Amino acid sequence: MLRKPTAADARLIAHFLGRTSYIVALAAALPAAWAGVAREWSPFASFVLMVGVFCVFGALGTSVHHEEQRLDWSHGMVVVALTWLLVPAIGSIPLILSGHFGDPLDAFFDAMSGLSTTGLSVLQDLDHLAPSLNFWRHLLHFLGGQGIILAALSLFAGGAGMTLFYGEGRDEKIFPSVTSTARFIWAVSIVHLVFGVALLAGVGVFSVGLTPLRAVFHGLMIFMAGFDTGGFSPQSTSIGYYHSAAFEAATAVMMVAGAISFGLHFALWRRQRSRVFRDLETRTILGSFGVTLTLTIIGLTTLGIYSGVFGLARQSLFHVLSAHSGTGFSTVPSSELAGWGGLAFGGIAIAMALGGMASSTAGGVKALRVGITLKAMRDQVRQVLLPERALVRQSYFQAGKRRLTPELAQAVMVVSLLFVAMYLIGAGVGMAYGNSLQASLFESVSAGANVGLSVGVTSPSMPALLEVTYAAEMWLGRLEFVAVFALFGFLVAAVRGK
Amino acid sequence: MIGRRRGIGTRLMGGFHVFVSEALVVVVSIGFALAIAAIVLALR
Repeated sequence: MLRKPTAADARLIAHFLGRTSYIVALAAALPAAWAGVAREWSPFASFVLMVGVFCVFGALGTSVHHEEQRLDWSHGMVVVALTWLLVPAIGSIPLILSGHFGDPLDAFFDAMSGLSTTGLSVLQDLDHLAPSLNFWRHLLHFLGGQGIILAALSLFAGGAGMTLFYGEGRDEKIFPSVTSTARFIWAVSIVHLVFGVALLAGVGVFSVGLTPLRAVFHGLMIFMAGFDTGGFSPQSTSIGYYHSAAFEAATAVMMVAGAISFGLHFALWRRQRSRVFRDLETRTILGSFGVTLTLTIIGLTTLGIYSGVFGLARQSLFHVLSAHSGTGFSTVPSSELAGWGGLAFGGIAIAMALGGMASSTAGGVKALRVGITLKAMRDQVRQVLLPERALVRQSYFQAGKRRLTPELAQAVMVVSLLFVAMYLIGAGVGMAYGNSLQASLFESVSAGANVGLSVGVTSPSMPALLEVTYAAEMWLGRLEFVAVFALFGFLVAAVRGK
Repeated sequence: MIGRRRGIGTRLMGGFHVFVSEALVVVVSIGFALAIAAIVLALR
């Protein structure tokens, strides 16, 4: 029997939503300051309006009186799921007012794509967008990638830490305390921000020929989109705009950094290299990266698009890295990407579907789940082949030796199957609007795995239902289903519970 | 040293080590991609 949520439950959820709104209002003040300094008055006014709306939500939420009740699992999940709807809804205000979107749904789609670190966009005339608005879109990547909740935890964790932390699809505690873990993640991000922007801006000046100020602006934008595996870029031609192999290599470093789990960052930080290579997730992602890269190279060779070794390796490596890390940067137009059929399509689509590491900013099924699934299958086969009384030791290494229990294997496979089901449903909706199976599947996987590579299905003229489907995929994929299902469960219990 | 907080310089150096490791991953990947591309083109 479902327990009907009480008014106290609703008050508690409202209170935490209010706190989170204040955090986002603080972050949203940055583009407002940028617009003020750059004298971009129209975006400035829209940012002030957005900050105001966040503050109103913050004040309303935190003013709700709630008893000293501990935030339990279901409350935390509902807070996370609602936060990830509320922020793009309010965050789309400056985008709606910019005049670069056909309707509010387009602006919401872009904000959801930004926050979920996807990178698909229906923005019109990106090359003439005000820099402060561009900054806000990229900041949404940073907020989503680092985790809004993580920011909240760093500032006021209280007893709510664990459930909110897990709600955002993070399942790795580096330190015993969630607050310390959140602070370590911020330390890693800030160090990467310093070195990443310096590297990208340096390459921008010396290899691309940008002026120092523009190089820093582009470096900052590409850093936020690369390290948070987002995929937005300041120019409509994405990374192809720079025409520079050195810039692509620097961008690749950001994508790799973003796809690595924070647990592995910690091991590298402590110089525990032996631990890195024993890790099941590292081995899995190296294997899947090697296979998908080889498939893509063979596919592109068969198509005859690139005849030289350097061009073939450059395009294949960049796009497989972009797909596998869930970033979505591209160096070719979507019309050219649409021509990558056969094995090249397979390589890129599989890389997108599998995604990066768990507890990173990447999306997709995640290497840990793939590794555990493969290991469980192997152990199952061994158990069948060995004598009945033989015992197969089922364990794996991830930040230490862990037992591979049937319950864990089942949970992992359920989430993996949910991802596959989501990809197929999205592809079905795409095909219903007359798109080919290949294009529909590619775009659906790209949205659901929070990648952002596009073969042209996502455009300002796309049907509204398809737009809503992709936005829902981004939301579900980023939160890895659990928080969204908890929200629906909460709503059903509110109606049918006793 | 027990009880002593690490300075910003030490933290930055630790982070730089991570950054260099990630750059090395990219360098190795470029070598791997070039090798595979050369083999595939040669076999075609």
